[in-house]
Amino acid sequence: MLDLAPHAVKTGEKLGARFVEVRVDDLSSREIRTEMAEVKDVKTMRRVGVGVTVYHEGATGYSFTTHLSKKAVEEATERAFRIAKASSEIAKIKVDPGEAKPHKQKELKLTVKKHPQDFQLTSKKDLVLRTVKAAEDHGKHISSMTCRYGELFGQKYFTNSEGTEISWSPLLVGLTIQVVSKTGDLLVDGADGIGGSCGLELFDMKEHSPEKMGENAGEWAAEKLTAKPAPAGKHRALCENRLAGVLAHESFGHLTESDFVTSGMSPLAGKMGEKLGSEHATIIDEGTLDTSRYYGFWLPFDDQGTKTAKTTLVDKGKLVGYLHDRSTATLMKSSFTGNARAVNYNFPPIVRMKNTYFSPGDLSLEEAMEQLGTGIYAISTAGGQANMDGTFMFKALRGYYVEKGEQKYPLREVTLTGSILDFLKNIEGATKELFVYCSYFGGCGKGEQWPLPVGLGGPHLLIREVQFGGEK
Amino acid sequence: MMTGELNRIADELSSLAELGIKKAKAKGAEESEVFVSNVNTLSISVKTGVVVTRQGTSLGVGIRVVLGKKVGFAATSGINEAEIERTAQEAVDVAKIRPLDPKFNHLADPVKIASKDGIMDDKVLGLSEADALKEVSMLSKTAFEYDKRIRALFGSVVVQKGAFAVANSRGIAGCSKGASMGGGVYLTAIELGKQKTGSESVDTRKLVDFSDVGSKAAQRAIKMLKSRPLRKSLRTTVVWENVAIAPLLQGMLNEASNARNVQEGKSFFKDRLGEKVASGIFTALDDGQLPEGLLTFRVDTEGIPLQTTALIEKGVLKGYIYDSYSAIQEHKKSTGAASRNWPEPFLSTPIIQTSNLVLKPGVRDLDGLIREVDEGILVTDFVMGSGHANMTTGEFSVVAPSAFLIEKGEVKNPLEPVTIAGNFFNSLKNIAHVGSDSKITSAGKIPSIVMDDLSVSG
Repeated sequence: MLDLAPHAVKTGEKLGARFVEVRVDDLSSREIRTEMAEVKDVKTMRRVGVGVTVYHEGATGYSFTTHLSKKAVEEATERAFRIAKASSEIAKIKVDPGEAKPHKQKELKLTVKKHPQDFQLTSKKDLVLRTVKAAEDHGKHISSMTCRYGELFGQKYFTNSEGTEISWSPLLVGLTIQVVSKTGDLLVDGADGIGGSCGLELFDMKEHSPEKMGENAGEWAAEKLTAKPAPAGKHRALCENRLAGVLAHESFGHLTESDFVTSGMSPLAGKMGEKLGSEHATIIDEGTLDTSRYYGFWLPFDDQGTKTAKTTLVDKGKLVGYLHDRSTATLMKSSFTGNARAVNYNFPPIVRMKNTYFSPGDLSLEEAMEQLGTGIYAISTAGGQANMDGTFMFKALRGYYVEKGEQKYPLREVTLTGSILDFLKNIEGATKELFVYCSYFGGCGKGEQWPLPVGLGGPHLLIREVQFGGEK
Repeated sequence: MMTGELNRIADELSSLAELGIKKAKAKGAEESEVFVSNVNTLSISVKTGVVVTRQGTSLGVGIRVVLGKKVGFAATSGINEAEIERTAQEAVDVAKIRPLDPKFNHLADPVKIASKDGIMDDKVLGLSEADALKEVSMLSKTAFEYDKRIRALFGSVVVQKGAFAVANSRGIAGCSKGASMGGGVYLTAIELGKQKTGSESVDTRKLVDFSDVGSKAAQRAIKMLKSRPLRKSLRTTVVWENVAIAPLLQGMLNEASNARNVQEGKSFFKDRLGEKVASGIFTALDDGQLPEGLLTFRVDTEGIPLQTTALIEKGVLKGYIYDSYSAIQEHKKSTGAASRNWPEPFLSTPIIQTSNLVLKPGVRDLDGLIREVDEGILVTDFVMGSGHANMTTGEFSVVAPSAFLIEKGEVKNPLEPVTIAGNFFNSLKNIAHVGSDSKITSAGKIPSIVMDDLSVSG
């Protein structure tokens, strides 16, 4: 299988291509889903394919095949060349992959204690059922319950015209539970979960054990049965780590993706060096976090074979970096950051984030609560969306109304809206701890490509004048 | 590619599915279902001046097997005989270790109803890369030429064509084909540091002229440059343009009509059959046989003919949509709602999903609807947060970047983004008008609608 990649490079060069990049992905995933205590779905999936990017006269063409033969790879390369050539005629901005030193790296992988590959599906089914049991024990008026386990592992190979040759093994495990409680017409939900590039030992830790996550989801749903809707209007807010992570990724991070910058789509285009936020706003995008301390997604190389960098996007409020693939870095005369990623072999790599997080500050959680005074403590996320003009809406999974630094009562339907650029200016402080995670279920979507594993996180962020939606 | 070639692919997939059944039986499966798909995508995108093109065929096989009421599923990309054999073995291995599902009875039984694939246009099937590139250039050109304040643009043309075949050991042998294309633009306009977005798209089974997609998106963004903040929170009437409401409407009705959700207690429509759940002018169908519908197929992904199912008729809840698993629980027949995710449907087991959600149109177009409103908000273009609404409870809170004030039946100034919140299922009863301007999208065929009494703040 490995000789197919150099063959594609040779084929492309023979056709006269400026540059050729070839990936071979062999990725497997397994998923288990339960509804209440019944196992509803057990799936194993394997995707093996070859993807070829051809650069020709300032345009790129991408094609792929699932046939692992020299002939199929040749045909894919020819197709990629043909569409690159046709595209070059309408491309007004010419792209070029630039130059890099060849890099050789063989069979790079994380060392974990319990690799999911070495464990039977039955042991994972037990994890799920333990979670469900704990949720049942701690929930009230449960009307439905969904628990999911997922794992992803395999091999990725890469080669290009420069002679770079890389192979490495991605890894991701995740467990999530959602509990819905119902009284009368009122339906509320509680959820917990954890995921990252870890072995199954992740679930041996007390705070991420099936028992603890089930208990949390059950209790948090039950608690919402008596919760009040969040009061609409502007409030001072304390955003918990996961919610801070979603803000870092979804509402800010995308604006630093340089395909949005070079096209002029991002409001951050032309703002390098400008002060955007308060001194407490520092945002980082990184490929390989210390896996002994943080979860996240371990990404040593991107899908253009570039070693991933630790990129500071915002430093104490100042915009200092964009995220690049080779073409945008070359166009903007920047160094490569290793942010070219493809969700699978059906797609070419595009500029994507890796692990994006707010840097921690110096407050303890108690101090942050005290500074919050009266406002909303918004925790975790049930999703959200951001627009290119910087506006966003995010749903917190849970929330509490806080008065004089004390949690008073739980809230439901906690929705934050606003503009990220205002939001960054309004950050008043950050706590000391950093928490990063990566969800197996969910992931990042951009254009047609979804779901790409990304890590996100941060400390607790204290922010003034956050607009909360909800019914009046 | 022309119809003939697509037919040949479909025949090949059908025989592979039959082959898979034999392989699964040889591996010890008591029952089996083999799903094979072949989807070719040509996607051309332009980001201001940068062009990225992608073309290729996604193919693979997904096999469900049953051993003593235990169901296993495995899927692999690629469709040669060896891969099918290995996948069948893996599905058997999965089935062996999974616990019994007491509710699982058997795989789908054949349903004999006449059904058809949607419109197939040889001009779409035969569209070349050069043709598609021309369309993309045109999208981009008309947008930039519309107004010099248009600064950045993402445009794309996607052509997708393919077929899938599904067979099972209970006698199902079905196959569907389809081809469609879409053109869309998302752009920004800038004036005095103010940045506004606009979008427009057309999805179709027949080749159409995409030339005004760019200028329409540009017009939307330019209009918003004059936006002013609302600076208050109020309860008021909201006029939703078809494209603004379609995702929320489809998401909510899909979840609430889903028979599995009803059975699992996750649907707002549980125990409400025959009850009034919406305004008397509201009629909604799941129409899997709408010729121009993007999700029209001869059979669903379990091989059951697609059909038309009444969901809500004149405000009264009429029915749910079923796949075979949920139908068997109630001794009913599947409504042909088993769907798998595109463009690699082989990778997943079926889920219940509406095909084309169709609302019975009213008599007034969007301008006519606006004239009916004394005081309210017009929401156009896309809204943010539709996909993150609580589909079980119906509570939603969305942000509309392209909203306008309505006074005495006239559109007044555009607004800075406003948040609109409410409970969708309560709002169904507050639908005052349904428009005549139904638009085909991946949600179905949905017109503009007017909802009274929603929370709006900004």
